[in-house]
This record gives sequence, structure tokens and C-alpha cells, in this order.
Amino acid sequence: MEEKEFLKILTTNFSPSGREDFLYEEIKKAFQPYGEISISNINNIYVKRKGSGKNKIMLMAHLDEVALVITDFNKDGFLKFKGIGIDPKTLVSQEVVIKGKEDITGIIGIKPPHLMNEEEKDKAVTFQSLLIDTGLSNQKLKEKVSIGTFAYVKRDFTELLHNNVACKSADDKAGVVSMLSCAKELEGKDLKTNVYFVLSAQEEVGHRGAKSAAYEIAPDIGIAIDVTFDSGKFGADDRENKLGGGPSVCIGPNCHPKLRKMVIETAKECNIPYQVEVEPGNTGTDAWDIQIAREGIPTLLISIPEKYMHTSVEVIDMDDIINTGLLLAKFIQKLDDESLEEVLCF
Amino acid sequence: MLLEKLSNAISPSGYEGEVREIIIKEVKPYVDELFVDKMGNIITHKKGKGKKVLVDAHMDEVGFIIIGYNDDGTLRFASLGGVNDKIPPCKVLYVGTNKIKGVVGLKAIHLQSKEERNKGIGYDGLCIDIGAKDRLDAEKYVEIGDYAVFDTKFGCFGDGLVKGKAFDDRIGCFILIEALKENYSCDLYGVFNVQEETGRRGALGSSFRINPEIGIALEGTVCADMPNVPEHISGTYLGRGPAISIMDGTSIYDASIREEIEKTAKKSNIPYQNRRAVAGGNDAGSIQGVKNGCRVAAISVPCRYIHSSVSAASISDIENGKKLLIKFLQGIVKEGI
Amino acid sequence: MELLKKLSNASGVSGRETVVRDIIIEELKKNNIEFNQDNMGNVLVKKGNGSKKLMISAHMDETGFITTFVDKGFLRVSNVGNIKIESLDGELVKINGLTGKIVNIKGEDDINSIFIDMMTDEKLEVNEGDIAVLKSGFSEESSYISGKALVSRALCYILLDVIKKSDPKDFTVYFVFTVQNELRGRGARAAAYEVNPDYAIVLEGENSNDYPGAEGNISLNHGPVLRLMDKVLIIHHQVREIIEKAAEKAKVSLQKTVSNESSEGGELHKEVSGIKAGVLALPIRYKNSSLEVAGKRDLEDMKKVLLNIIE
Repeated sequence: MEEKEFLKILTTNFSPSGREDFLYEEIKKAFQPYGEISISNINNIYVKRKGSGKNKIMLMAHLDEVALVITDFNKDGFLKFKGIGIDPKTLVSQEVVIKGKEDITGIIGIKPPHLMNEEEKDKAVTFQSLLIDTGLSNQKLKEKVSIGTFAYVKRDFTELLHNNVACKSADDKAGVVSMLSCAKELEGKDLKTNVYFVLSAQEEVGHRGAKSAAYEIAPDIGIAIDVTFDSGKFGADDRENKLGGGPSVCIGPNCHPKLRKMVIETAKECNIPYQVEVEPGNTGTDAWDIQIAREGIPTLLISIPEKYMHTSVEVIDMDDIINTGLLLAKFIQKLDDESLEEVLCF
Repeated sequence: MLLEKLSNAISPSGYEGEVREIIIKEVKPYVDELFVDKMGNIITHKKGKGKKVLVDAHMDEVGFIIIGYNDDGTLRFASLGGVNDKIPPCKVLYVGTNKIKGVVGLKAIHLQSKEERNKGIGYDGLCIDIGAKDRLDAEKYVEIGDYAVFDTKFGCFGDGLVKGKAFDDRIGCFILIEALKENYSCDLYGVFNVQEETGRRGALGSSFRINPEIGIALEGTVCADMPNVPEHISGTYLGRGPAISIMDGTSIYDASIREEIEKTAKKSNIPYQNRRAVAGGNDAGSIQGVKNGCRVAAISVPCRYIHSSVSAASISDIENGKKLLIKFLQGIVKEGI
Repeated sequence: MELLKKLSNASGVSGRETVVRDIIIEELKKNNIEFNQDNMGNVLVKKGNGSKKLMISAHMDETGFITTFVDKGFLRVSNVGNIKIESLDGELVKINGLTGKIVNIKGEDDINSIFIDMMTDEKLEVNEGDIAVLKSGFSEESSYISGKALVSRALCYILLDVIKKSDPKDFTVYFVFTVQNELRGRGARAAAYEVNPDYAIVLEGENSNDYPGAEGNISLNHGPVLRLMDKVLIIHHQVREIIEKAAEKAKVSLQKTVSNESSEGGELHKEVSGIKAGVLALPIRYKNSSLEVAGKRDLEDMKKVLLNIIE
């Protein structure tokens, strides 16, 4: 399947933290040709590509996305809700889909501005001041929706100029797509390494899936693939990531220095554009939990630059996704010939 | 479906072309005269011996206009007609006649300082991202002065409701189009005006030309009947029928016309309500504000979340609004009105 | 209720659960129930031999204070477990058999803003490292019970009753009385690693909001609370189904919430290869104060739901 097509399918569907199984069928369809697929107790999905030897490399991108959750019923079909990891400013005047017993359309609107006082006009909205309007009676609504039901902002997959796309949940479906891209690149190649593509659960609520996935697979090397901030006007000013500049390789204590050097060498050798960024401590990704699983696992973090993270209009360059997949594939092939003990020893 | 076509059409203030074409096609077979004046207003005339009545709806919707480029290829923009600055973030917009897609992004929540999290962002803090590499690249695709509108699609919503953009005032246009398909004894001018949202300006020229005795404005109007708004400032309620205006920022509505409209509603069993808000304004102000003035009234359909990317209205309110206008116009036979 | 009174009045701050554990063990022995104690001090009871393993946990520990500085008749302390410091002013504590009064000098939510007045100018028999616990005072009304530490002890009481009455059919059930819940569920995590259950149900207390000025939808005597998610755990949909089905069978109506609280399910569900877990909670007013209030009907309803899950 083409990368853009797969990203569109993933991002126009819904997999809130805790319900990654909503996308299990789509994942099975896409990854079927590349390995054995299974799902864990807490919805980590594993794709195992068998190799002829014993070494295990685990790639991990998280399948869950930030989402809204219904916390209570107000009157007349209006619902109270909150978002985890979501800025309420991004939710004003949006159409949402409530994933109850059936999909229900909702609108998050605000009080007419001419009814706002000066303070309300200047301040940002809060979750307490927002409601989801369903246009239904509470009685009808309660048949289909309950406290704890998830909802998401309805967002078409939008193509911008120069192979940029805007969609929701590019964090981290872009990472998932890059793993598919990697699997495609490795197809037909004879490898000794066993490659595990892991679509982890519940990263957005504290990278909760990573620990048990790493425990289960017990790999020799773990590579987390997530998205990272660009350094534009709305991005981070403590790094220099550009959309289109290729995968960003993380430097810092969370990442094994020898592995990191090797992956950069691979990028140079294969002419794959890449960038670097520094994380002095907790990377805030699955990599943090992978590194301390079991007896400890040499870890890497490779990130795809993205604009407007955790909004419904995240912008990403498709070329970065494909180059990330390519880099991972070439790196795995490079490691295949090496003795891992030599590579990993301090 | 006509209302769907009207709602999805792209016609912000000053750029009403697409809606103008749709309306002309729809009403031409039903009117005696139709022409487009120097500002772009559509003026239709159904000749009659009775009083000269002008019924108005405006074609334009609120939107945005491109005012410049940033070095990184994003576009600076301003509101075209009143769109509160809390609305644009995280929307997909169509820019210009080529419908170039752009998004209004926001800084990731992780990167915001405590101050930034609590403060609203004005238009000068926002930009439209079309994926251009830099300023020179952006200039190839978008011109300064190009308009931008929301990509919202019309659809069903809740129980007996519809959602979409531009309900203010495509609902008014829809009702007027349907009304023009019936016949009346009064001398009826159905006018589809431009640039209401930027100051009720199209209506000035068309009213000057027509100089009616009675003017009726049709609108999609404010409806804040949400639980987190105190009831006394909600303005109107969804589902309780078309709203008859009492007073607003631009007019005090004629008491006897109001009474006649109410009588009509009661006689024909059409549910109706009062527009209890006094804020806002519409073309009636301009209709009354030229030459020797005239008596004015306004009939509106309540819309939740007007002037945002997606509004909600009741199908029965729209139908009843249409019925009420038609019955009222048919009743303008006697000289007494 | 005598048993619950004994449990509530006993001192058992996180890491120092001995007295509470002894009461539980005594009760188990009295009823000829076999049990195990692990490295952390958790008490485990295994019943049934079904193919699937179900772990049900209730914690023994309560929040309290540990002495960091003795200044003549006044103590400076650090809190053991999370507790709202600003609401402690005036509360009485017991330390080494002596009574002290908490004073919050600045009224702030800062542990350094409080001291404990031991109300004596004689030599104080208190050393650094000694534990202070909120003063006890269990009482029973017609529909409510009140006392300290109901958040742990009422759930232990429920669990003991369920152990006595249950006859597991489909599950092998591990009933676990855990330690150090108030310190991010350290006991529960270790027990979960050892047991490696297929499903885990964590019993907690949920703040009720049925008094003036409180916001929310949880009330006493309106049923046990099904937590769809809290700060550290999103309920697994299968565990949710198990609990909802059992409640239906038992004709008990559940309250539902998206909670702002924590639970020992947080560390637990990330253990081994991942554990399907969820929290079933008892509504409690004024959690972590010296006088918590719970509903008697809720206690019975919770027992009914748990028994229906097991059978």
C-alpha cells in the first residue's frame, strides 16, 4: 500500500489511547505481507518478521492518538468533556465525531463574542467553558453515549503544496507509516535479524504500552519512531528541525551513542537526508521506557518533524516519512552483518 | 439540494460571484425583471398593483482575506466580516479562486508557556500555512487580496437539525428564493444584497434605487440557547420557529408590521418567537437609511454559532420561516398595512 | 462492623502496615483461609482453579506523616503519600501513643507550612523517623459509616467478606491486600509481576461530590463507581464488560466517572506483558481526612458485584 494512502486511512479513522484495537483490522491488512501479527493484553500490536538468526531489533511507533473523552451530561444534548494533551484553543468551532454505540456528530461552539465580557474576549477558552452540542435530546443521547466515551475532531486528510499533508494524529501515525515503508523496503531481503514492528498503545497518556512490549519481545536493540517539533514560527526554538529535512536523530542519554553514530553513518552512506536534535533528559517518548526494560535495552529515537503538534491540522512532509522508513531499513541491513556484541559494548 | 448548494458555495464579502450565479439560475424563471446592479446586488421584480415591498437577503458570508506573506511561506490574513479571533485556529481554509488549501496552525501545547496557555491569540499571531517553501514560492500560488473561507460541508445534525457554514445568510437567501416562486398582489422586489457583513453596504445602493414603502430583512440570526449561557441573553431558541425582531443595533422595527406578521403566524398555525437580543444588525438599517426611509421588519431563522466555521439550525424553523414570509406577503393586499 | 471498626482505627501508614496486616491475617486464620505473604509485605489469598487468573486488590495502607525534625514540643514532618496539606489545619494526629495537633501556619499547600503541636513542654518521646497517623474515631449511623482510612480499610473489609463467601467458578482468583498504595502502588506492582494475572480489578475510594459547593456526579449510596479512566489507568474494555455484566446480574446500578485521581492500577497494568485492568471504587466523602464518610449500601453493593464477577 502506498504511504500516503495508508496515512490517510489511519488519520481519518480513530484510535484513542486505550482503544488502539479500533484500528487492528486496518493494521493487519497493511502489514499482513510482512510478518506475523498479534495483539497484546493492553493493545500493543506486534508484527514479527522472522530472520534466520537470533538477534532481535524492535521498532516502535505508537498507534494511539490524543483524544477527547465525555465526562458528564449537561442539558438538552450538550456534553461536558475534556482532552488529554489537547489545547482547548484548538477546539473552538470544530465538528467532532463521538464514538458511541454509533458515530454521532457534535459541534463545539462558543458563546457569541458580543455576549462576552472583556476578560472572556482576551483569555483563552478552557475545557470548563466548552460543551459538545449534539442536537439530540438527553434521552436519545444516553442510549448511544456514556461517560468515558471518546470523541475526535473530524478532519479530512488535506493535501497542501509540495507533498505536505495536514491531518489529525500524524503524531504518531506518521511513525507507523514509516514502519510500513521500512517493511516494504526490506521485503525479499534475506536477513539474520528478527525485526519486530511494534505499534505501541497508550503513549500519549504516559508511554504506558512501551514497557510491557519491550518486556514481551526482549529485543537486543529498540528504536522508537515518533514525531518531533519543527523549529519554525510555531515550533520549538531549541532545535533546528525543518520539514523536508529528513528524519531527526536524537542525541542524548536516552540514546545509545554508538548506535546513534552508526545510524548517521548509514544516512550519509545512502544519501538519505537527516537532521539531529538534542534531548538532555526524558525524551517524552516510548524510548524512555524501552531503555530501562528488563536488563536494559540499547535504544534509539528517530523522529519525523511536524508542525502544530496535537492539533487537528498537524502538517508533515510525506518525503520525511518515506526517508525515515528507508533509513531504518538500511540501518537494519547494516547491523545484520555486524556482531551486535561489538557494536553495543562500552 | 438548494440549501446545501448555497451553504457550500464560496462567497465572502466583496466576492459574491458563486452564490450570485446560483441564485440567478434559480429565480429567473419566476420573476418579471432581474438585473445585477453596479455593486453586484441581484434585484428582482414581481410586478403588482399593491404596496411596494422590498424583501432582502444578503449573499455574502464571513471569511478571511490575505494581507501579506511571511518569509517562511505562510500567509498573513485578516477577518473579512466579523470572525472572532478565537475561531480561525486549527481550521482548513480554501484560498482564492483556485481553492488552494491552507491550515491555520497553533503552537504545540507542550511548547506553550503558562502565559501563552491562558491568553487568546489575535490575528497578528496567526497565519495560513499552504505548505509553501518561502515567500517567493507562496507568491506563485496565492495573491494578496485573495479571500479564504472555511472548508465546512453542509450536513444533517442531531434531531431535525442541519449544520454547515454561512447559514448567515444563505438561509435567508434560500427563503427568499422559495418565496419568489409564489405569486403576490403587492409590488414585490426580491433583493439579494452584497457586503452586508462589512457594513450593510450593498443594501444602501439597492434600496436607494427601489425606494420601497416596506422593507423586510431575512437573516440567519444569533441563537445562544446553550446551557452555559444565561437564558435571558440567549436571543432565540432553536426549534421554536422563525424569530421576529423587536430592535437591534441598526433598527427599531415597525410595531404594526410586527403585529401583522404575528397575526399571520397565529392564523396559519406557524410557530414563531421573538428575537430577544438587541445586539447585532442587518440590512434593514440600510433599507430604512436612504432617501425618505420606510417601515422595516425582520424575520430570522435562529442559528447557533453564527460567524464561526460551523453553525446549526432547525429544519422546521427554516420551513416555517419560508411559510411565514409567503403567507405574510400574500396578506399585503389591504391598504391598511 | 466490629472488624471494620478495628481496621479503621488501626495505624498503618504506607510502609508500616504491620498492625493492619496482623488484623487481616488473624481474620483469615479464624476462618481457616490459607494465605501467603510476599517480599513487600502484601498478603495473598488464592481461591479456585479456573483457567483464567483474576487478581482483586485492596490496599492496607493510609497516608500519614514521618517526623523529620523535633523542636522541643513541636514536630516538623514530611507527608507519606499524597495528601492535601491545606485542608489539614486543626486535624489531630497520634504518634507513639501521644496526641498532637496540626497547625498550618501560612495556610499553603506546602508541607513546610505545617508543624505538629504536641501540647507538652516535657521531654517528648518522639524521634526522627517516627510515624504520625490521623486520629481515629470510627462511628456507624443508619446509612453511613465514618472514620479514618476508609479509603483502604473499608475495601479490605469488603475483600475479606468476599473471600469468605466466594466460590470461584471460572477464575483462579488472587485476593491481594497490598502495601504502599499511597506511594504509587508499589506493593500492587510487585504482586502483579508475581501473579501475572489475566485480569486485575483494583478496589479504590472515589471522592464523592454530594455536598454543598462540590462539583461532579458521584454520590454516596448510589452504587459503586466504575472508573472509565483516571490519571494513571484507562480501563481495559474487557474488564469494563466483566464489571458491567456482573453489576447487571446483581441488580446493582453503577456510577461512572472519568476521574482526576490515581490508583495502584497505574504501575500494575504496565507490568510483564501488560495486564488488562480496571478500577472499581467506593464513593467516599472527604478522602484522606480524619473523618471520611461512606455509604453502607455501597459496601453491600460492592460485595455483590465482586461475588457476581467471581461466580
